[in-house]
Amino acid sequence: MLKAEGLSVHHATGWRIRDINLELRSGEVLGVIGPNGAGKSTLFGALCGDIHPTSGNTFLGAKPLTAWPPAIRALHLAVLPQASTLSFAFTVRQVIRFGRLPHATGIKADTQIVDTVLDLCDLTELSQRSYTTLSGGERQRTHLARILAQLWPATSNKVLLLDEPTSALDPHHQHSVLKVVRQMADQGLAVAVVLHDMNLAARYCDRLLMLKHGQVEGLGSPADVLRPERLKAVFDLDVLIQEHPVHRHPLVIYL
Amino acid sequence: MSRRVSPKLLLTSLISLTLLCVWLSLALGPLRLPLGETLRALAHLSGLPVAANDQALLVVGQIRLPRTLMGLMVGAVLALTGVAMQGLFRNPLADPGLIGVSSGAALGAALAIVGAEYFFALPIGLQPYLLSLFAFMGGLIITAMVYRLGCREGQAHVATMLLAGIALTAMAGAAIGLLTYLADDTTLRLLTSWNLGSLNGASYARLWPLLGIGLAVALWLPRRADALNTLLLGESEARHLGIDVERLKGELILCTALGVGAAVAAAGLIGFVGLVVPHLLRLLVGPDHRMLLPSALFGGASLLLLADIIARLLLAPAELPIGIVTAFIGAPFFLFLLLRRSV
Repeated sequence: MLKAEGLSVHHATGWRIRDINLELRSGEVLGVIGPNGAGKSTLFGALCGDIHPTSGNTFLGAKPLTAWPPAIRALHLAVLPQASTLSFAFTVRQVIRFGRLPHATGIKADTQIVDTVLDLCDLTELSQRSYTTLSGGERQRTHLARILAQLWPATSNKVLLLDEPTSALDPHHQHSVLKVVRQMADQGLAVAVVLHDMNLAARYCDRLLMLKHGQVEGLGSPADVLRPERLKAVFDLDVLIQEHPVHRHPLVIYL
Repeated sequence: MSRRVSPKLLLTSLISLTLLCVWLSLALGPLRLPLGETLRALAHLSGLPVAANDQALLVVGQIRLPRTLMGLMVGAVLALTGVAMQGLFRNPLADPGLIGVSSGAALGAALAIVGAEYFFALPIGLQPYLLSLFAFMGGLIITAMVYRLGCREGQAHVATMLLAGIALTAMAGAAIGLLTYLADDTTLRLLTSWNLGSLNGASYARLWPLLGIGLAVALWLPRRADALNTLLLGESEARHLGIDVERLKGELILCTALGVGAAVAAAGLIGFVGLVVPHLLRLLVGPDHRMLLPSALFGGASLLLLADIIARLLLAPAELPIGIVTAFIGAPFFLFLLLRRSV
């Protein structure tokens, strides 16, 4: 659904990402992992059109990303940035409602969708609270709910890009949020998500993309990508990889 | 939980307040007209078959109606563009003057006031129009420069624009200083009173251009309320919600340059309205532009009319510059709201 062909971004200090080829398929969750500065956010920026690639192209569906009129593109592609600054006192419900702006589904349907995502992101009780009074994790969930409302209902022609959606969340919400994302992918959505926690990535992602110095170090199933020697080379980490006793995905044990 | 006023109630009150201010502004002044007589004169002037006395007709029709309408438009435009700039800069402390339009207009006006004597041999009767035209053009030119300086690779960088606005404002200030230095006593006085703003020179000839531009801005900006809301999330976020952000920024800047340019050209520099009215209303109705823009329109209009009434009455028959009054009314009220809110 979203395809990168030879994507490269050059900046004053060098190549941020170099020659990245990637196809994000409908119905899959692709986890993007890599050390700080590996180019994960740059890749996302180039994938969603925020950054103009120095060379290469991004395709959304059959058309280049840039060929989509903004209002139509917003129906098919939603992005959760790493950090959002909103210093105006909108209520949580108002912020999430913004996600419905690209649509013309009417107040009734929109309200229903907002109620649904409020519930999914565990925000129902906060719906009338002012955004500026929320904690970091609550803000992150509010933006996630806004993005989910934008792509609601999940269908196979839509793409969700999440840049570190769990960075401010407590363990309970890390899992509940990724479960929602997983569900939406099972309904057909194509999802790419930057994660730092490799065990979360292994559990919820179909494939992993590992980046180092802006280049692909590994792309494949979690079991293929999460290898001790590779984690040593990329993250300088000594790890043991075992099978998760319940969920059967690879489990990274830090030594 | 916020203690906000119901939007409908606030808007209804603001509209009523504006109408009341219009009525008072038509009736009050050095010559006080009975309120009923004022209404009759207004009805007669709008073509209704109502008899009115000649004096009231003359005062309302020739002097106070253009002045009142001008005050209405100046207040509305300053408050609306204040909202637009606070949205553009995503900062509730932004002011329409940030993009250089006020300082540009002030420079244009100073050139017209001081330069008229040096360079132009225009008859004295034409000078007010020369002043308005120079002020309007000055505002547009400086804003266009700020916008150009802020543009990189087809994108307007708001932070760069802010800094360019500061630099150009400083340069315009220096040029105004130079002109002030060159001015003689009479022109100096004219310059000072213009810098403090006044609706004193109101006339239909000055009203029409302002009315046209003001109405265009007042009709256009509310159409962009949803887009302005998304802009508060960030430019990239707004883009991902389907907004053509570059176009939106261009529209906001154009509306502000035209609106503030026309307002300043008509009434001089009136500070404070564009900063405080939006801020104050945001405390009352919240940041949603769908409510904020209409509220600001009426809030700005009533504040300016109220200030003008006070400016006329306080030292009657002399007049205070209105900029002094707007600051004296608005600043304490603003402080009161800030303090009440923080407890």
